[in-house]
Amino acid sequence: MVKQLSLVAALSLSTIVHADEAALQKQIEMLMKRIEQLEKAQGSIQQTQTTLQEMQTTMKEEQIAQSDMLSKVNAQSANDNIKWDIDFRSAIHSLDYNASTQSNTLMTNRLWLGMGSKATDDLFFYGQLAVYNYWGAQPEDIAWNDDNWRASSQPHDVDLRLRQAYFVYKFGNDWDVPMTFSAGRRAATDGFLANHREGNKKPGSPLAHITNMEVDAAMVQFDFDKVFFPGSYLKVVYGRSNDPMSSGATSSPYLTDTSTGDDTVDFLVLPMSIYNDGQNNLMAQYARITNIKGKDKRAAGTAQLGAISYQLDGLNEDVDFLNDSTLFASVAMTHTNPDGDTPILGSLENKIGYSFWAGFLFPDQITDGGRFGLEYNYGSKYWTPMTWAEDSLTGSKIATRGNAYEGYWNIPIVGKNLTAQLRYTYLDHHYSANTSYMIDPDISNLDNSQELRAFVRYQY
Amino acid sequence: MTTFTKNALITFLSVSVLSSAAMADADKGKKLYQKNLKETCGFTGAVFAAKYKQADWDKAFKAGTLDKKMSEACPAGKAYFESGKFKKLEQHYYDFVHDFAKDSGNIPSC
Repeated sequence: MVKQLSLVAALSLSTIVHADEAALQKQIEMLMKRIEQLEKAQGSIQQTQTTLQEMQTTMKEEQIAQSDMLSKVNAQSANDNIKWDIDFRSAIHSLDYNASTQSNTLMTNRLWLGMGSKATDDLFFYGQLAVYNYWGAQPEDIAWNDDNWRASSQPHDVDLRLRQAYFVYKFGNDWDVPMTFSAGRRAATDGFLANHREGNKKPGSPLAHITNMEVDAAMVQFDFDKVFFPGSYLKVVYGRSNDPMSSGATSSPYLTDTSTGDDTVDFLVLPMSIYNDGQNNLMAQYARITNIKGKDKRAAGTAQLGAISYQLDGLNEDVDFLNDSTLFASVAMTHTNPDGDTPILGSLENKIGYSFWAGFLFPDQITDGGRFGLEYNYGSKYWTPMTWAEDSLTGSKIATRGNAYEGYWNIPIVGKNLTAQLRYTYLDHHYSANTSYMIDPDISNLDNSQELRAFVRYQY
Repeated sequence: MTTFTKNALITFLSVSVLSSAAMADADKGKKLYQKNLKETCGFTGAVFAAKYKQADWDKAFKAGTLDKKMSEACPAGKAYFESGKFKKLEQHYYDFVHDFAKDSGNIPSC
């Protein structure tokens, strides 16, 4: 009996030992697997570390390359403080001065190189270099047989025209009436309302009804926006448009020579914005010019000009067609006052001229953003504005003494970068064509004239 | 047919063949701001557009959140920016703020 019990015990013990060994073996296998996994993980970590190091090295290299590049850009742009923009236009003009004279077709190129420089938010400069030539042009001051087909390719003169150049300094931004000071050759052409017929989004500084000239002047602007109506301001502009000084080899160079009756022509112009809320824009302007030229180009007296112009931009917000339409109207007056024995406009008496100008622009419904424009002008017998730089080849249409009719189509081709315009202008003169203060309006010199112009214009 | 009439016809036909592409209008956006928001916001359009950089305006416009971005620039105009009227004119406002953003480098003229 005892022997049997011992045998059972031995068998049980043997079974237990075997079971322990199997479990141990299993644990050992698991541990080995774990070790393998850890080794693999360690390998991955090392690989990741290596990749990270490589990335770090690459990034450092890139950083150094970028820094070098930045230094190069910095060195290149040091003192390079002008930003250029370009406005180039090629046009064809068809001119006709009633049936008695022959028609002519003229092709032109106009290049404006804009220069912008901004020292601070309140101090900046703007300039414009310009070339406006007709195809096959003959230089006015060059000897016979000297054509423009070699003007820029062979040694020649030094002409490069400056259309605009002025700095602007804004100050007193915290004041109730902030101010701006500016001086130079000003943006006095293609002003308020004339921008439409020129295909310009933004008008120049003055009211185009009485001023469209390239002039040099100093300006102080008072912004009344905070204390008066929205967008209101007053500009006080003083400048000189003629100085008959002698710059040649004389004993007194740069002294004004008045021996021929000519004299310096100075002007005071007060352009003002009365109300501008973005939709309604009411502007006015007063100008006084001294020593204007009368008969025989002699200084003869004073001229005063005034205008009030209104523009409604967007006639009705709920109707797309009307919302993209613009309506404008303007009235103006000129007054001449001879102060001696030289007649102005053929008279020694004060003369007053009146003018009315209206226009309507509306979507063409053909192109995206294109608009048709229709304009009408009327000028009385003595109406004589300062619009002699107006870009109308048959003479200033705004200065017409009689009726002027105009229609145009402003077409965007590639957004605002490439545009085109087709424009027709008809001037019906009741008196002499308005070219200066020297001519008597009763001396009729032209019955009517017309111009058809088409251009393609690149701006960027 | 007179020379002038011939020239007129040729010129008209030449211009008529030109096609047109979509047109963005920053100037219109500026006028819209002046009309609808200047008084509410209490500052000029130039100040409003310069609240953010071009990339910020771009990002918001592409994400369809220009109204929120503009509300951040001008909290007083929030109601307008959330209106249907703004949605209709959003493109013009975007063109304007993009062209006159803080880093646009635009130089105003006289």
